[in-house]
Amino acid sequence: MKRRVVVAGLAGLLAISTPVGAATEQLSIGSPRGTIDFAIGDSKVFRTSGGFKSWQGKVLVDDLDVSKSSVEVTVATPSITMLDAQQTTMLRDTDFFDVDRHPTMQFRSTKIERTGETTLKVLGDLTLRGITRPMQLEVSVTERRPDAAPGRRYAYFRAEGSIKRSEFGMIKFIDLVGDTVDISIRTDAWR
Amino acid sequence: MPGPAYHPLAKLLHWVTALCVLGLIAVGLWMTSMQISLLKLQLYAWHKWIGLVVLALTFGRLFWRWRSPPPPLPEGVVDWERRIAPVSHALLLLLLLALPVSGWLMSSAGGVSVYWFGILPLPDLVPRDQDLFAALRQLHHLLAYGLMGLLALHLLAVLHHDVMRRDGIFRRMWF
Repeated sequence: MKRRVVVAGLAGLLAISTPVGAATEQLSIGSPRGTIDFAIGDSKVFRTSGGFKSWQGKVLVDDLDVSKSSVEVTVATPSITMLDAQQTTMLRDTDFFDVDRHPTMQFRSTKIERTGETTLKVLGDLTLRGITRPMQLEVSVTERRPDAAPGRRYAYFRAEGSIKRSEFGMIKFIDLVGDTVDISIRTDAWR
Repeated sequence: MPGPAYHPLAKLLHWVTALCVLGLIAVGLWMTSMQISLLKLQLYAWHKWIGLVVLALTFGRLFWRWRSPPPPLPEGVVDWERRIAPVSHALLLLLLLALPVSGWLMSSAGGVSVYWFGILPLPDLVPRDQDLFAALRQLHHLLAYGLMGLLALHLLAVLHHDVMRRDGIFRRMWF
């Protein structure tokens, strides 16, 4: 009997302490449960596309004050994969991702704002080849399951954005292949 | 006295296709053996653009064949040749459809959309997919070698008829 009271008391304490925990949630995103794909969008001659196979991120979700949310993503640049082996080799080389000297690229959010019921605008800094430039992502959040068990899908994120590759010093074949790179991210988020 | 010949439009379509196909084979063999470069990417683009011209030309030729059937074969052509000629022509036409379509599919699966002559963005026929791309690339190569083999037979047959037999086969398609 006494023991049952103690258990109930503990449960009560936990219940009191959880509201803060419920408003903020630390989530993981990344491969292999997520994909980062990109395509050169402004060429009229040779449009190509590819993806990164290895990347991880952390998302801090603050439901009450979305501006306090944040996201950080690290992408392993050697995991860049085009469907053509020569293109993959070229992109890993010094003219592009220079993966030996810069094995990772990072995205860190600087500002997050709500743009709709399930959509967000995420502003942040992308560091690639040692160069940091602002980048904007339009994010949509679907399939939210706040009661999901740890490791199970808590939400599904889709994000779209674009960068100018020339801003990161990647100018090879720019006249032919184009400068604007459209980026598309799809991922599960889990606790 | 020359025998019956193909319609001038059929001849024109045939010879423009022939020029395109010879160019496509030469560029195709060359570009796939090249290291990546500006020229290589340009050649790929042109290979796709001209390949799709062949697709359009072949549809045009099929339409014209239906409107204006080919002239009868000359007297001297023997029985087994009469049976095999339409089959080889049908196969050639089929390959001239299948090669550009497989190339277009392969381009889509490879994540490289086609922007026809830099004017017309073409839709991707299938989503980007590694395995599908590899399979389609193999298919495209296989069809290309098939076409090269069949073209060799086509040329040898023309040579045989025109040089050995002098039966006027070539003149049916010449101007």
